[in-house]
Amino acid sequence: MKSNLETFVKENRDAFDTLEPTSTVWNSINSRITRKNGAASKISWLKTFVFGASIVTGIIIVTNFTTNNKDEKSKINKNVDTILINSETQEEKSVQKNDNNKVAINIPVSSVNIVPDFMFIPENKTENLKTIFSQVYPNLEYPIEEKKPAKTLTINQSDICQCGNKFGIFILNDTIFNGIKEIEICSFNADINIIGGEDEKTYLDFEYISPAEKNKKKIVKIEQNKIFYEILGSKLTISVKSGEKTYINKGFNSIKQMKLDLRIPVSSLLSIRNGNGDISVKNIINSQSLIDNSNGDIKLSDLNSDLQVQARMGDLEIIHSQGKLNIEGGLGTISIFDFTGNIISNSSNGDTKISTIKGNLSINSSLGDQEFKSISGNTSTHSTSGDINFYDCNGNIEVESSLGDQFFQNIKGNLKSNSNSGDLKILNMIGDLDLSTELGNTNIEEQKGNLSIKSSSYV
Amino acid sequence: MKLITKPKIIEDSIINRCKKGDNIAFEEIYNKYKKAMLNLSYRFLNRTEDANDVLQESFIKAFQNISNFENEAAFGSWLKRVVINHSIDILKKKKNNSISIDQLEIIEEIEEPNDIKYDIETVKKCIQELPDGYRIVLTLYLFEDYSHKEIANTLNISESTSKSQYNRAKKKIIQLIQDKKLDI
Repeated sequence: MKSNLETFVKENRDAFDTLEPTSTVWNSINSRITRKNGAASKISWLKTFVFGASIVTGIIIVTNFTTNNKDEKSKINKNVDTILINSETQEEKSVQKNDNNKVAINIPVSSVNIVPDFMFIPENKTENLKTIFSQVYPNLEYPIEEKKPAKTLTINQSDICQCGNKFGIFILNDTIFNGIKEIEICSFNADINIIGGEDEKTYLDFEYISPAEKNKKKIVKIEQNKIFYEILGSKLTISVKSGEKTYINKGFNSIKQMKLDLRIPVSSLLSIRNGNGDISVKNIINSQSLIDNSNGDIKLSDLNSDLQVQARMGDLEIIHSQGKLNIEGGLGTISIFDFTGNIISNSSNGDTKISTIKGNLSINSSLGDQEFKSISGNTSTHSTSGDINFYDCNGNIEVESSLGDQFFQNIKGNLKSNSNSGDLKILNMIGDLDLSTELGNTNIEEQKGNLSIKSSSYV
Repeated sequence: MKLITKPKIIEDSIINRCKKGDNIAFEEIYNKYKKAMLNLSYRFLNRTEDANDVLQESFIKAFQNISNFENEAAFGSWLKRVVINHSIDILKKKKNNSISIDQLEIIEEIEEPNDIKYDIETVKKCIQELPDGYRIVLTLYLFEDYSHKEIANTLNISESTSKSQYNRAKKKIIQLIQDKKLDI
């Protein structure tokens, strides 16, 4: 029978829910899920925006210079100096003419050729190309007036885009770097996919899907460049920046999706810091890697590296890897399978599943269950709440648990468990057992070593 | 959670549209659950800013995992679980990683005075004044229709602890209400 209080609450249940969320909550959610959704539709063209004036202005200029190499149908592959992408302030970063830092660009031929080495053209629809270039790079000498320039970059008319009162062009696909031994990526929101290979070159693909590509009639305003990269010695630093929704057409709710694909030398040092988006890294053998993702999943496979991984909101999966592993987990599930090396993991919310490990484990979790299978080293784990399960483990096990049940099966090493509450069950254990529980039942079947139990209820 | 008990066919339709990346469907489902989830989190945390944060992160997590829900899946139940877990996590962090839900002797169902009259604002205030453990159990039982067994599973406590906490919470609320009326 319900009490008066229960009846009162039941009859007035809706009146208790008076709080309304702030409008920023949905805006935040929307911006993050739309980016995620955008990942579903892929466009393979690889482009980076640089700013310019109006589309109309761009088209006019492009049309004025459709004279060179019109008959060429194959891809142009020329070595050019380091590509520069200027910021919105038109600030020139640097021009490197070091042969070791040359960049090759493969670009499909279509409508127009211009001189490469920079990706920014100031607004000036009346100037001819030579004048424009000399304004931007007065100290550079290019054979602009030759019929077949030694350095040629071809762009499509559709690659012209608008940004405020400027226009710009895209850099295109498969940018290649030589001699890179260290890669650092700082990204606000992009899906990042990295694969190591035997090739000594580094290949960069960058996809940016803009509303303009989906509907050319829409006018798009881009507030900032999306990708910057620079080379210092053998280190390549890539920065991917976010674009906010800045569409001129009202109600146009398209998605800006960014995707960074890198094929890198297998021994490259790696540092990735990403905001939103998934990270995938495969086949790397190096001394150390840092991977930090705020919101998105991380998948690492076939790595031989000392790994420092921070997964704040998404899931983390590590398979077929070796080295030292240090994990700071957040809300997602941590899964590790087939790893050789010691593992330290701290997580706040989410399950931990670890199996087939040759090494010692030190695990700490607040919420979420823990499961360990086929661990050959020693395991030390602490759990605030959540169940803990061990199967087929050879090393010694030490457990500190506040809430949650514990289960052990086929344990060959010693087991020391200290828990505040929760049931404990052991099936088939060979080593010594040292148990201390305050609340909960203890059930032991087949245990061959020494036994020390402090338990309120032992079966 | 009344919203969850609406005809499943409607629920499934929204879920499927979300799976197809329909932004309007995401917004519909958000609007459908936002208020209940925010107030649930607030009853745990007693702080509007934290409750909004929990709401935001829980929906993002739920939406990111929406592909895991088949037509028959109860998205709302799972969302509620995410909100509860996340709220507990926040509460733990604020309380140095521990929430006191003590194993107390079970007390019998208390008798409420016949003359006590409840009103919504007073009950809400009294709930806010409860200790964390009392408030969480009471919220789940009284407002979210959890059974003591479900509460025990959710909080990793025993059923008897849940009953004990609830009865003590109720007793405390009645005492607080009577005190407030005396103050008046």
